[in-house]
Amino acid sequence: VALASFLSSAAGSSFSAESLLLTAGISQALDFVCARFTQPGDTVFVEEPSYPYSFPIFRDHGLRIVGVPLDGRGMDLEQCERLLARHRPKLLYTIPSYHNPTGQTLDLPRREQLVELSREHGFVIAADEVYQLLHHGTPPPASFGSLIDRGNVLSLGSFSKILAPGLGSAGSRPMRS
Amino acid sequence: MRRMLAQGALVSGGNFNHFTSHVVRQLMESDELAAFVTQLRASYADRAQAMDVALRKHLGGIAHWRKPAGGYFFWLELSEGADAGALEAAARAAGTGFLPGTACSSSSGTPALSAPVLCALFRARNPRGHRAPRARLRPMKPSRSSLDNPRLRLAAIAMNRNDVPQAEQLLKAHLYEAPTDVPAIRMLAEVAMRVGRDEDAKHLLERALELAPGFMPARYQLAVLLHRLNDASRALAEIKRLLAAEPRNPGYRNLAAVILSRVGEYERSSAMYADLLKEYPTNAKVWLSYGHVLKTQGRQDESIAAYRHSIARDPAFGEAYWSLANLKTFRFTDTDLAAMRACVEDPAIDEANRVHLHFALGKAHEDAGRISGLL
Repeated sequence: VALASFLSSAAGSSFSAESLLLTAGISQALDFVCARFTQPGDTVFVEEPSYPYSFPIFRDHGLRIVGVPLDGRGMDLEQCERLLARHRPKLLYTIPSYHNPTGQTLDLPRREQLVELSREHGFVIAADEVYQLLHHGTPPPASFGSLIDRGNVLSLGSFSKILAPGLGSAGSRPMRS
Repeated sequence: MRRMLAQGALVSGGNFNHFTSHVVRQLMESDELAAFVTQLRASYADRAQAMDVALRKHLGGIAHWRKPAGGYFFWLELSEGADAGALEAAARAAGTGFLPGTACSSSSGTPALSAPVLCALFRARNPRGHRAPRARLRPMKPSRSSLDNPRLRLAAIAMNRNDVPQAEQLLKAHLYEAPTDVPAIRMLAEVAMRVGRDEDAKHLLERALELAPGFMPARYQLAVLLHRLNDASRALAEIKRLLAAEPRNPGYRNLAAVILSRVGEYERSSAMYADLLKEYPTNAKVWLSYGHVLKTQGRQDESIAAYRHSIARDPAFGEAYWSLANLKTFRFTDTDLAAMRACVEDPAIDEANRVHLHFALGKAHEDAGRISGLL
């Protein structure tokens, strides 16, 4: 309940405690997401480039990693659609705000379009939103946490970036459907 | 959600992280976490700014990047021919480092890193050795001891994000309990100055100095306030007392130079700036002020040189370009024009710099008779 209220006041939209699950950080959350939503041999889409320590987690689960290029405004969704014609990913991992390592941010129309694609193509979006609160003046677009009702969205958060490194109490925001 | 909750490990353990959840919960319930995040944002914004200035200075010719609007990371794309290996060795020798961009590639064989393959990543976190330009730092910070009080710490955070009502409320509540806490009185005076209640601020500072004549931050603030109220002679008297206590303090010397130029003592003022710049040659803002005094003294060439120093220290410093444009006989070179254009096209540049740069560019075009180029 305390986390729901912290997230609600930080994000300006309401979060219910029932939609949250506490983990020990993003890495563990990703590991569990892979365990629950994928089988060995499945495909995961990631941004190209992306957070390098996510790759071994996907490989541990026998996933095939496919990179989707960025175009300066986050993931290039035209390229993503082109790749969706050739692959059937079960999971898409994205760092939508102040992306690691490029610093790019996905704008709101693209966030909505990506959620739409997740419904159309039946994959789960795992949005790594650890930098969402760390803007340098102007807040980023609404987090994927506020889009969970629109598609297959999991929003992963962490305290490791806003409290102390290694303190990874992540609030993951699983789908309601 | 059901699918996540049905995990065997969760069914068995009930929670993945009992202990940490309780610690974090207490922090969230006390509101300290929200205040801390606000502080972090300001701190990362400062570091990113310092990093951007340092990168422009050292890598301006061989790499391209965009200053990030949040988070930790700068992503640099090296120009063709730049040697990433040599850069990495040089960075390591200088006690810093970066992660080659290729380490972040998933190498799946799909279209990847189609742009220059040589990419480099710098973490903006803890860029040791890169300090924010002094001019951008706030001149006064409450002393460490007063920040031990949680209410004062929250007040300082509120002032940092310019939430004046919140800061005022916290400070007044604190002073109700501790009416002679001099650092808190000084902070309340600063709050009053922010909203233009200068007379209130003056009384508060005089009260603080009555209680503690040796509390220099209050005296410095009083000098700033008197200068603002055009009471130059009293401001100078306060500055004199400050300098008697700490003759080499750069903040006091800078304020003295500002006030001296205001009262027409240009020679003493420019000598003071020259002396300051010998010790602090990287401060773009002081170079700018020095340029202004030299200009007033009719030392035009030296004034141009000072403005150019200022630009060399902060290549996006619009006010320095603007000051050059204001010199009657000065003409910008093609290199200047290219540099200014590159700055205004940078989406990350702040509004004040952009306005000054547009003015300077307009003046340059006007001088060259290229009015149509503006439209």
